[in-house]
Amino acid sequence: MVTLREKQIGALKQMLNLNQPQTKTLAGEPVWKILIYDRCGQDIISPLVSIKELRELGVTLHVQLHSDRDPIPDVPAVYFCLPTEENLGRIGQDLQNNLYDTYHLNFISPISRQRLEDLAAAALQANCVSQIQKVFDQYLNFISLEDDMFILKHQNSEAISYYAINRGEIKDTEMETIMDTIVDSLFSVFATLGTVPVIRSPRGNAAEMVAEKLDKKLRENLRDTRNSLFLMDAASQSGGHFNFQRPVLIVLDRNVDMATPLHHTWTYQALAHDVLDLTLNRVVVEENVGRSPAGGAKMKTRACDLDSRDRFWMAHKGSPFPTVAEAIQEELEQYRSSEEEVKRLKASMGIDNESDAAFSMVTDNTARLTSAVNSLPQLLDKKRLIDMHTTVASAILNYIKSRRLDTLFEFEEKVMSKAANLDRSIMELLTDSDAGNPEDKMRLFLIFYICSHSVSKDELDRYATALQNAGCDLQPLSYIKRWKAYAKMAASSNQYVGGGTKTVGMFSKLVSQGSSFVMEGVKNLVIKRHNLPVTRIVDEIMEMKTSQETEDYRYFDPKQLRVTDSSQIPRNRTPFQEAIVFMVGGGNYIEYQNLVDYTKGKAGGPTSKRVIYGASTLNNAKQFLQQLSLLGQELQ
Amino acid sequence: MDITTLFKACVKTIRTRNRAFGVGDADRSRIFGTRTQKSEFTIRAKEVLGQITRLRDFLLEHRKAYLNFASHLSDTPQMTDVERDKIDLGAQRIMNTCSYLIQEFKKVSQKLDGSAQLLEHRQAVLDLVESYLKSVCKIYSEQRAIRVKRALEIQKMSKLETESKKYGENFVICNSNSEIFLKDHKENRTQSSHNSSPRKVLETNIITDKPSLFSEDDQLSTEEMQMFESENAQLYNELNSLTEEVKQIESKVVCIAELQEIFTEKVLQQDKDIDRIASTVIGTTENVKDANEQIRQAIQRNAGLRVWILFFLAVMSFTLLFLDWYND
Repeated sequence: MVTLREKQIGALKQMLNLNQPQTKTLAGEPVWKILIYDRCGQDIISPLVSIKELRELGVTLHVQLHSDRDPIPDVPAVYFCLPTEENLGRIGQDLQNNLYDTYHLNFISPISRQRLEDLAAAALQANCVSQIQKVFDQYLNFISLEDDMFILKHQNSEAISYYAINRGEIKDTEMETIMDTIVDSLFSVFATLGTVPVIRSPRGNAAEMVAEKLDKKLRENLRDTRNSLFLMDAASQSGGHFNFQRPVLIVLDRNVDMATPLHHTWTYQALAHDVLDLTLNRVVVEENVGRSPAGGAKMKTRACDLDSRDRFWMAHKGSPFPTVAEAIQEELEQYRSSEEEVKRLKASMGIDNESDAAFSMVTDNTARLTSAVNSLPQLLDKKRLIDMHTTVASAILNYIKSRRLDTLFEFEEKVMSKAANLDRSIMELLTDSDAGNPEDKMRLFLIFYICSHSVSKDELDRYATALQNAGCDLQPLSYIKRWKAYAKMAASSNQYVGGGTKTVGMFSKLVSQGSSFVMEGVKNLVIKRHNLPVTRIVDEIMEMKTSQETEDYRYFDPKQLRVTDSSQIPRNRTPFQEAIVFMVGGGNYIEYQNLVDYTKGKAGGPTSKRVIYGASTLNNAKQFLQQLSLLGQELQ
Repeated sequence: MDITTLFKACVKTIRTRNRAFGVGDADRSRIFGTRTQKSEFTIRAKEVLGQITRLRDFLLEHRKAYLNFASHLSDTPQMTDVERDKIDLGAQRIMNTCSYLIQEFKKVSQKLDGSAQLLEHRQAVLDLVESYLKSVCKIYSEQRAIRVKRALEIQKMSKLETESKKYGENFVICNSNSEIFLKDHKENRTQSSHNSSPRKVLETNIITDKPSLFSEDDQLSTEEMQMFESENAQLYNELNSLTEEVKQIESKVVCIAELQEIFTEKVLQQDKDIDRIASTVIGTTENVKDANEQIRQAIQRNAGLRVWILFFLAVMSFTLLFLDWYND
């Protein structure tokens, strides 16, 4: 089963191999080349291919398109950028200055005919048409962060954020451009996957627009038999994997669930995103290096890569934080014991050197020494990983302790699950001075407001004054009030049931007492398995269950010849095995983790599901709150 | 999706359009397009690369014949040991030349200058060429290792004893890690010891046979036969144990050489680090010396200042006293 990420890596590697078929010789002769990318290309390449791998593929130099570049003769240059006017202008300049020997131009999304002609004119003017070897449309306009997660944009993400879509004074043309960008990227996703999905979306919001446009685009491309991308001929299928089942694409709007992005989290990856700003699988941590002469503590920043090459991260990125702390301890113990073994070996070697009695002893020792020396790089690598995770985890722990994120998390879970007894009323938490900074309090209150049925006017005023005393910005609240009025609250009254936490019993606390992570004062919370609204919707659609919420979702099938009436959903279909969930307006790791848990829960049975989670951008709670406050400002 | 053809079509249309509008076409005189002169660096780099590729092709071509040890059983191409030795020697020579060339190349290119990006590019090109050479050398050493292992297995099987199995196993393990540092003369010694032991066994057989041939009327007495047989067995055992020991020593030396290699690498790394540290320390001592100098000057100035201030105060007080006395 080739995942989306692997397919994207394959396409990139083929592009870097100058689009020649990769032959499997024993030692290939290196062909050196230069890689030039723009910001979008950089975002796409950086989580997928490391610099070492680039070197192995023969890339000697990698530079930004819009930087000053020096002429480097006799090497082919591979360009990987979007076909915008700016970029094409710069490429034209390069051709004029004759910087490189041959040019392979790869455009991330298809280039329009007009721009292609402009490029041809520029090439003619610079007299180097023969130097342009290949021009490719790559259809890779998305960023794969994990095997089953992708986002659309990272560096210019304000253009398609939740704020941009829901702004008050948005013009139709602007909306059109935003929708076009999103549809273009989704089209690239499906072109890379090579399948045509069945599309379902709710009615009446941005998701519906996206679904309609995507359906139209896919339909056009399928009809155009000359260069359709979805021809399934057996020769080109790698590995001969025939997927007779089509996946279902579920396009959702952020408005279906506003509480999850603001939620305080408890799993490792989601915490890293929330607290330490995990971007493109990379975290920048401050660590305490020592005391500077001025007497203050010196902080040094360190960038850590948290991606699929890190074995520990892949195993624990979805586990609750206390489990992660224990696992780090275990790894440390294992590492120490292997270190001890190596040291013992040294000691025993020293003793045996004096007696030269039996040959066998010496041969054993040389063999052991060889194996120890061979395993040294592995041990060093393990040590480096453990170090890195210790730094990251202790940074997160500091934040948790200072902002009391564990109490906030517990409380929010209770609110979201409508547990009847809230032993600490929200008023206390809001006025408690060390339970988080003003943003945390605002988040807590917004979740409470969204999930509770009705809050009377004077209660609301009391809370508002309490929040203002704590220093919070009240503008998101006005926006949420309006949203609540518009949304159909009746349907979403029991969206979050089933959640909640339970504290782990005393015994396990004693067991984990020996860990060097001093987790005193941090509760050892274990999340009960429950489904967020997004997961529930996915489950219903995949299993063809009928429910009040998903009943009036629209249905599009680009492969069918006539435009079907979307109210007739064929009922005699088997449940879908594969689903791609796309969230317009911003996604987050909490939903992703929930979907992963859901898939794992379903695996092993007769029907195993694959769910890919996509979002237009990734927002952590702070960024989302900022967008809400901007929207609230506009209302006034 | 490849749209190169589309692009070329666009170029053609624009060219015809330009011609129709009468815009000058500067490209007319050139049919093949501009030919840029390849820089010296690239030419040299491509030469070295070509050599390594030739070596690789040569190795791969003869790989099948080289590794075919059951030549008497199949029709695939065969190779005698002499030919194999020739290939080994030739390949090693070429590898040494190539690595020497690369070193020379590095020294030369360090003297050239260019923009920062160009230098980085050249450095990366050299690294890539080096790693290519390393991978080709790996092919060669793997082949070599298989051959040696095979020879030892044959030797082990031709022996009649079973007690030395444990040594044999360790031997095989050590040899499976053997690298390019197996020297040729060790090879030859193994070969010669192969040849010598069968030969010696043959000789003893001939010796024992001879008396039986000469004494056609003289029957061998049972005691004599027994004595000769036991002598045979003894000699046989002695020689085998000798060869065993020699082989073990060889294997151990190979292992030690490997480990030495690893250690020298580490030591060289440390050496570089130590050099760096030494230069830093020198810089530090310089700085400290300067600092001391400056502190001394500061103290002196301080002292001088103090003297002046005291002098000034003294003078002022005397002036005051004088004025007081004078005004009175």
